[in-house]
Amino acid sequence: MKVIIDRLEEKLVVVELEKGDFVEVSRRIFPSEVKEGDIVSINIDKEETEKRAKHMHELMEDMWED
Amino acid sequence: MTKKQKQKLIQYIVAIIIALATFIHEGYEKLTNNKVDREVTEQIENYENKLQVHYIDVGQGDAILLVSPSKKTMLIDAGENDDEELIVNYIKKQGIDKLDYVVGTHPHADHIGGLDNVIRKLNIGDLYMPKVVHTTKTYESVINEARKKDLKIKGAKAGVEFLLDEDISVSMFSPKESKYKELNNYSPIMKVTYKDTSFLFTGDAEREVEEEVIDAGYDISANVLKVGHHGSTSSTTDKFLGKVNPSIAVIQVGKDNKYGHPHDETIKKLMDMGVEILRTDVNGDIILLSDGETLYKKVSK
Repeated sequence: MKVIIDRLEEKLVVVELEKGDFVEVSRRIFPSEVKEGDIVSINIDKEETEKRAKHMHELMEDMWED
Repeated sequence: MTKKQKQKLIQYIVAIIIALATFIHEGYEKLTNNKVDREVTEQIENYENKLQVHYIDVGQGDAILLVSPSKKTMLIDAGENDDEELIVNYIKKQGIDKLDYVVGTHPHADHIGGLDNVIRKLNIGDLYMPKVVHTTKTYESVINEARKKDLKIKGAKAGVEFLLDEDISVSMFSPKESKYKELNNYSPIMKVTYKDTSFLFTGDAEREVEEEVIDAGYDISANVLKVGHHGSTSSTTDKFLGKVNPSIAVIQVGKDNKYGHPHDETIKKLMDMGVEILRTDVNGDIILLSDGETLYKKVSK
């Protein structure tokens, strides 16, 4: 999904979604260099997700009594 | 009196109180309705030979309609996408189907969101916007609607002047041709003067541009100030406010908006200066009338 930065308010970013509707999100989730007009891609990082899941799986192993 | 009788009596009294309260409440509401209707009628009578400035309640966002004594019209901004029907209906309700001048102050969606629909549904004379790129579909839609109507856009910038009507001048004091980092700063600071009365419009122009306009030596003094950027501390510096020296400040702002607009600091500044504050989140639609000497006020809430 690609979203467009409409404007930066003090602590919030107003984002235009693909259908043209808007959401306000915390500025903290964006890189600090984010600018008005920037197109931001939102993708699920499958590789990273699998890596994390594997890591957690290993971490959790042997930790349960039953 | 037996205990049972006592209970019954209390029940009766409670019932009477509830009925009375309901009646009073409904009576009050009706009275309010009548009062509003009467005000509307009075407004229409009062509109003759006056400049009307309607700060339309579009929640968070700007939309201002000006109607001159001979019914020349100007719209400054058109709120968000969701407000587009509201704005067109509001304008049509005034018996207007042509906007002689339209100003889109800058490409942010809370200012030009409803402009595509305004262009689509109404006849447009001159359309002014600062020439600055923005990538949103909302802005693209405004440009496309103008293109569909074969409408060319005039640059909103310092030095632009025109007459809305005989005796009513419009002057833009900003933006300069230079590049700004913030889209807000492309908003023209503009003054509408009708004889001895004047209104200053600011869009979302921030302190950098306020300073620029002061340094350029423009006479920004005005009776009514549309407070910049919905009352954010990004705008309305002490110096700027001092130069404008308004008696009325209008803040176009949504109730409980997520940005914390207007900021307390701005409200305090205005109060310390003894400026009367009108806000769309509190007062609803704010209509100011000028006969060239005196200002009149009507609010919908």
